[in-house]
Amino acid sequence: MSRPKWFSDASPCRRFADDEQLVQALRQWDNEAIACLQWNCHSAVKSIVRRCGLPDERTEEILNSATMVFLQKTAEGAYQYQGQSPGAYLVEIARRLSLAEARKQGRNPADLDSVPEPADADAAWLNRRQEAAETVQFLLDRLGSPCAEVIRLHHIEGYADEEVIRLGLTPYSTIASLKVKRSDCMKKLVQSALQWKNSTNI
Amino acid sequence: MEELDKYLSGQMSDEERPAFEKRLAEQPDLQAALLVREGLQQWRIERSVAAAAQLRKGYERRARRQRRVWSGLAAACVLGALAWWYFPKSTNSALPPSPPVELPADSIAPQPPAPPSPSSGPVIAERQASPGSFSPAPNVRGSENEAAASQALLDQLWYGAYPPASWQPDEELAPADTLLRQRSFARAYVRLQRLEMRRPDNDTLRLMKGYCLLEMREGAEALRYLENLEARQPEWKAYLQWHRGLARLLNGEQAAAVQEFRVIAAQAGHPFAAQARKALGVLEKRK
Repeated sequence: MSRPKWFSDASPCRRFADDEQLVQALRQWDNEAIACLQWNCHSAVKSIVRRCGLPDERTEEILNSATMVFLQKTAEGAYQYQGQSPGAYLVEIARRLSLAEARKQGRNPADLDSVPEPADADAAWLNRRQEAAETVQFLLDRLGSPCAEVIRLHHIEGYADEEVIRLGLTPYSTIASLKVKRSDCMKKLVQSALQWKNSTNI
Repeated sequence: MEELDKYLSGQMSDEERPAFEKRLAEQPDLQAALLVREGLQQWRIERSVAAAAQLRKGYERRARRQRRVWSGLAAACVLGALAWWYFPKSTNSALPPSPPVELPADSIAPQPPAPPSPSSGPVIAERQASPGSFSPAPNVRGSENEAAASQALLDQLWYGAYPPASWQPDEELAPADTLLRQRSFARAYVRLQRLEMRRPDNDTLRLMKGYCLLEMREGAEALRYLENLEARQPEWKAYLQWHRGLARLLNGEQAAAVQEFRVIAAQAGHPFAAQARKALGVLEKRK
């Protein structure tokens, strides 16, 4: 007999026996691993947000931003699992982001003095990345179909080429033709990014 | 491109990195390629984080329900223990037994049940008392009971229409509007979530977020946004009716969804009348 649903453990962390397993899954950007990491840190981040004098509603946004920085640092190898909890690392990023936000709003939480380096580093990195994402989105719109779909499916949605062909998500019927088209589209995208950079002088 | 991936994933050696960064500073085409790579990567991260945040919220709702069930059970146990402790004592007290008293017939008539205590009442009683409340409603996305049959049913009658007729979001909402039109829901969600902090009472934003959540298969959350808008924005009535129906269906409230679809199907000029009739046909066959 299966256990009633309300009796079972309501946590996204059930799949991960220890932190090492969790970090391995986080490197793959596994949704459940990310949810588990956020689940473990939510209350700590909320308390930091409060201590920085920010409204509770900002918790979700800061938690998500810190998670993005965390995932990137993990992908870059800046965070290596050496026995420390990944949650502690995420909370530290969230603290820096909260402090940067507090500073931007002209608040001066006591915590600010104890930050050893400019707290805005993560926030600035995140801003730059978000701007890049928005620019790419704008350029993909201009590129139009089928390039936008071909690039989006592979680079953003994470579809495998076999799946794209099997589901008929693009007009291409073979993996080879899809790859050729994508490579061609990426060149066009880079070219339009270059034109855009020149026109905006950024 | 391989070199860029190596740079972005921190796999360049200490010798390679400065040389690459020097070239990066000199070559605008390399800068453009880096911008594209970073943008795509960031987009993918945001998508994963938004999906994971939704998953976590589903677990949080479930944990809250569990806590309510356990508190109800604990309260019932405490009350039971108190009753067991108190009543045997009072009946076995040293007082002389009272003479039997003839009670008038109406005094033993069944009494109406006492109203449930707001703090310790069992969950089931709370839900019956407020059938219109959707906060504890089940979350279809990611839940274990999302059967293949329900999914097939949704796929058959799903029709999320965006944008609504004569739709003009303001400048600040325009990027999220574009994302919704492109069906980039996770990214639109992140943006709307950010905007909502500043503009929690904006009806246009609420409608956009409701629609976005609906497409992310978050029925209960979508309903929270799509409800109560009609009173303030009567011109959205038809659009809201149809999408509320879908949200209720996602939420497992099939009878309420059918009710909503019937109202739509009965109006000849309703823009979603054909979809509602189709939905009613599909749901009828399923019975």
